[in-house]
Amino acid sequence: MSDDPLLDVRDLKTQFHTDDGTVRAVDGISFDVDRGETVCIVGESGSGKSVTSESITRIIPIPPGEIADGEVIFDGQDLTEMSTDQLRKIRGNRIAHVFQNPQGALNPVYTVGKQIIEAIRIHKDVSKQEAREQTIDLLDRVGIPEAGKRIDDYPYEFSGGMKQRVVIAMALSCQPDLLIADEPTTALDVTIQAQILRLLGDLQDEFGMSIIFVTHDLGVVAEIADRVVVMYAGKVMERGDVYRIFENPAHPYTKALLRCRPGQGSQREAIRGSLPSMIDPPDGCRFAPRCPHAVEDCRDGDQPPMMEAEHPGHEVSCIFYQDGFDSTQLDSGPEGLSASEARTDGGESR
Amino acid sequence: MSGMKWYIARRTIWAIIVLWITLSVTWMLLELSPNQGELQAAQQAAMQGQDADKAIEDYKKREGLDKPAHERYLSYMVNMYTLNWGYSTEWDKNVISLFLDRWPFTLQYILPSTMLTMLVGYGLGLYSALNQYDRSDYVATFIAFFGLSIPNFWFAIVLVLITAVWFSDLVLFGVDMSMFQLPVFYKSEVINTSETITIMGIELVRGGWFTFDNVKQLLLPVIVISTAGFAANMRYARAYTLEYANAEFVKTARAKGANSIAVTRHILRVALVPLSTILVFQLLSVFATGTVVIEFIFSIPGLGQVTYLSFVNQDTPVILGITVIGVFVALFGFLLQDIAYVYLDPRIDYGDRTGGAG
Repeated sequence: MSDDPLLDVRDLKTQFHTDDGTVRAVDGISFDVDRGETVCIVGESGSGKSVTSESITRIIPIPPGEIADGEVIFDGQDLTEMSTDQLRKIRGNRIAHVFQNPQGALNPVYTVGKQIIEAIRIHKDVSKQEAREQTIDLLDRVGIPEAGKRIDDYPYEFSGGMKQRVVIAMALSCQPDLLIADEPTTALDVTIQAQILRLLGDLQDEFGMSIIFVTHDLGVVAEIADRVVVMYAGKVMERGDVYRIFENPAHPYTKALLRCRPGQGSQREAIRGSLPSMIDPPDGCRFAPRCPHAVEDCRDGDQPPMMEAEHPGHEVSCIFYQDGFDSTQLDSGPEGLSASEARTDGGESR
Repeated sequence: MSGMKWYIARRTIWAIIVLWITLSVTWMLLELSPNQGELQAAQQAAMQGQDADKAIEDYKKREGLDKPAHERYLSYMVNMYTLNWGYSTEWDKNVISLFLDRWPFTLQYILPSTMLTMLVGYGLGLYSALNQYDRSDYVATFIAFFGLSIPNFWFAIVLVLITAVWFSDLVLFGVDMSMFQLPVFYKSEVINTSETITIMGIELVRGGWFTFDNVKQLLLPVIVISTAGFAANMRYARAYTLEYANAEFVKTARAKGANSIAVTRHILRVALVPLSTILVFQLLSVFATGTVVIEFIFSIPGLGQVTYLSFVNQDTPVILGITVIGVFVALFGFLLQDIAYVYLDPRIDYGDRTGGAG
């Protein structure tokens, strides 16, 4: 294993051309994923996290979508430079996806076995019988009881949680290096959620794969993430180690996100306002129109560059961390968040 | 698949019951309407100076109309279900044997045009959906609306004008178009004659269904019938493909690394469920109205022509037979559709299919 990160996303821009104009869903974001680690992409609905995850293997609909700029270096190769045929050899093989809604993720008219066997046989030169045996092993591994029998059942014969297990089995069918899970637990109830998270954790230990986990649930983040990327309106606001982000959130948006989690009691606070237009985004920091600390300089120019917060590896895009600004001012806002509070929720959902 | 057999058996029993209800209603309507033969008998008697009432009575006796209603109903039903559909004086033939003579003439153009509309319609619909808002999508959409908009009978007449009349003495780019001239009126002799001619040492059979001459004279009817059908198919296929093209499971298939053919198969396989329904309806509408118009214009001696003439001549036994055939075709079509549904979509229950562990 080399020291290079497994995945290095640099200045990625994904746009959608619509009748109303060009939607800059992802507008120049960068992050990396090391081998074997779990990176969570966090943000509210519409912040561009799903588009980011689907831009990596280019499964966004093209057109109207387009990867306008940037690089996606996966294991030394730039995926944005690859032809669709080359990418197909990576999709499902070295980079696998798990989507949010297990109800719709499986084709309703094919048996689950047929769909997993298809996934195996796209990438591996094995006989149908061998693929079938592998499929039964996989279904067994993800915790489907009587896998040998259930393999010939149709998706509608499985519950939501079981379907998600099937989808995970399919994603793991070629032992990928990277699993991209886009809100895989959002559509499930809480007990099933915990089971699926545990399963993903176990599988990661077993296969040694990296995981990109897209979610808006900070409780889940606290539980599984090694590092966190906070997105807002197509930009990265902050990224860093999960403990730093929860203990010392640097960006006002991250601070606000942590304050509006459930389980905060009377201190819980919603972020006022709504996401800016992605067709014609505001100047300066994207969060400035909703930021309680925003000053004149925040509404000028481009999104500030990523700057180091207190610790190395913890970076934030906020002018208060520039020379000449005092970042401690950010704590004087509406009730500062103490370090212990940041962890309580993560502890609860365990 | 014993569940499947039971399902088919149940649907068949239903079909027989529906047929019975239709036949009963038809019988009642016939009871209530004035009898053509009775009036004729009375008129004839009156003209010859005989007693009209006596003539009516004689006629009723002869036709068995003097029996009580329930007896006549019973014998009518027995006749219908035993395929004893009466005698057509107009054609001087047994109704059943009239239909047996004529159905191949209808089938010979309905079958190819159905397959054509399905393949071309679904193919184009799929293609234009997968290239949505592309130039090719617009072209296909334009052709589809063209096909949907022009009336069948008008299109048929225009085609006849071009291929039969103009082509007879038209030279286009130095090519004598008369070699492409198509016959206007269907000649059933083509099927009945059987001569063999030898061209360049190859022996060719010149009479029969599967001959060049027959195909040539069916070309226009098939084109006319197909235009409307394929356009509708194309629009439906496009709509349903679009509905599923952005479905989550299609994204899953692409994320697996499936190529575009495999992805298309995922879409089409699901879209086939609603499309199979439309196909039956379309077939029925072609059968019910299309055949009459087409066979009238091109003088094809098929069931459509029989329908038209039987209505014009008030040929009651034939009209009755046509009604029963229409109902039968519809019931059979829906039966096929139900079976196709169960086969295509595992979520549709046919009674005792076990499953749904939840």
